[in-house]
Amino acid sequence: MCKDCGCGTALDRVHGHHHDHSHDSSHSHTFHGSHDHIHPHPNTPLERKTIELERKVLADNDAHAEENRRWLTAHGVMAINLISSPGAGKTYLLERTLERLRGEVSCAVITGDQCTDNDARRLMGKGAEVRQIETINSCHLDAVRVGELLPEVVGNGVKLLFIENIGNLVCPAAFDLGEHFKVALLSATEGEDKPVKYPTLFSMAPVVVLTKMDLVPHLDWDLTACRRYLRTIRPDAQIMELSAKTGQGMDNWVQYLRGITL
Amino acid sequence: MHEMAIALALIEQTGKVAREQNAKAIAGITVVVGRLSGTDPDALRAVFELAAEETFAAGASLDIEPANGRELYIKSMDIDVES
Repeated sequence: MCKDCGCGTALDRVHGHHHDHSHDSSHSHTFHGSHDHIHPHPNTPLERKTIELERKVLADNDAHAEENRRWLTAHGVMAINLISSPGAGKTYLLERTLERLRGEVSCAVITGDQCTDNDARRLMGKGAEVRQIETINSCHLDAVRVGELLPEVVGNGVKLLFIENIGNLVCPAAFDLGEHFKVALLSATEGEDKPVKYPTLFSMAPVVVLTKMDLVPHLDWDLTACRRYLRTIRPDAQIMELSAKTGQGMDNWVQYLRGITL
Repeated sequence: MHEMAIALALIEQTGKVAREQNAKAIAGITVVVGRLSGTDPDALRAVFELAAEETFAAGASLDIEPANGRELYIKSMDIDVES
């Protein structure tokens, strides 16, 4: 697009028009956009045709995700996609989880953030293979980026892959990564009505982990209401309460993870 | 805000069909966007035109039909072909 006059914008590129032009002011130029299609000759009659598609917008991502899932299953790896708002405690929970499973269940982690490899550095040295994805400007991980990392992060003997998604309750829910299922985290410092405010994610997560339970006595946070909101959105949700800091509920969580390995 | 990714995927999908059909251009796209799809119709409309620049879908209209679930699919598209 010419930034002086705006020519070359989508509106300007209606089909069948000419591309070269000059300006009264100081410059002239030819159209410098590239096209992946041929423009019709003005004399060629065109016919408008409606095509019924019924095709998912994210069909390509979903196909890659399906491929990832097949690959993981074939390699005996159970993969879970951890999604929460920023600061719900995904990384802290993973740190404590990896420590507990070390030497018993071989784990790997793919962790996503907009910037920095801080999370990967926190998770290293705990016996798990860890890779960081920096998405820079994107608000979610996608199946292609995860798929590229699978062969290097999931080595022989790995039974559990944790994919720690970008902290965001909206966008990551839309992108299947090829995980076996999603786990939503919700911390006690967030409103107990988060499940009804962000129903997309909570309706897709069969497992919900309520974190920072050690803080509940200090907060006006209603566990009963939170559970009720969760059940409203997903009646069969499995809800686990824990505090990775004090260890409360961690036995239950770790026991659960042992049980889901393939 | 992942609507740009959705818009690009939309253009990729419809572009494939347009190529298969030897279309000269895409005139319009109808998508169904569910309330639980995680996609905001207004945001999608806002980024679609920009995402469509210099593609088959440049200048195409975008119709968004609402739905109640997780629907996010292309219902139909209008293409211009040589008659």
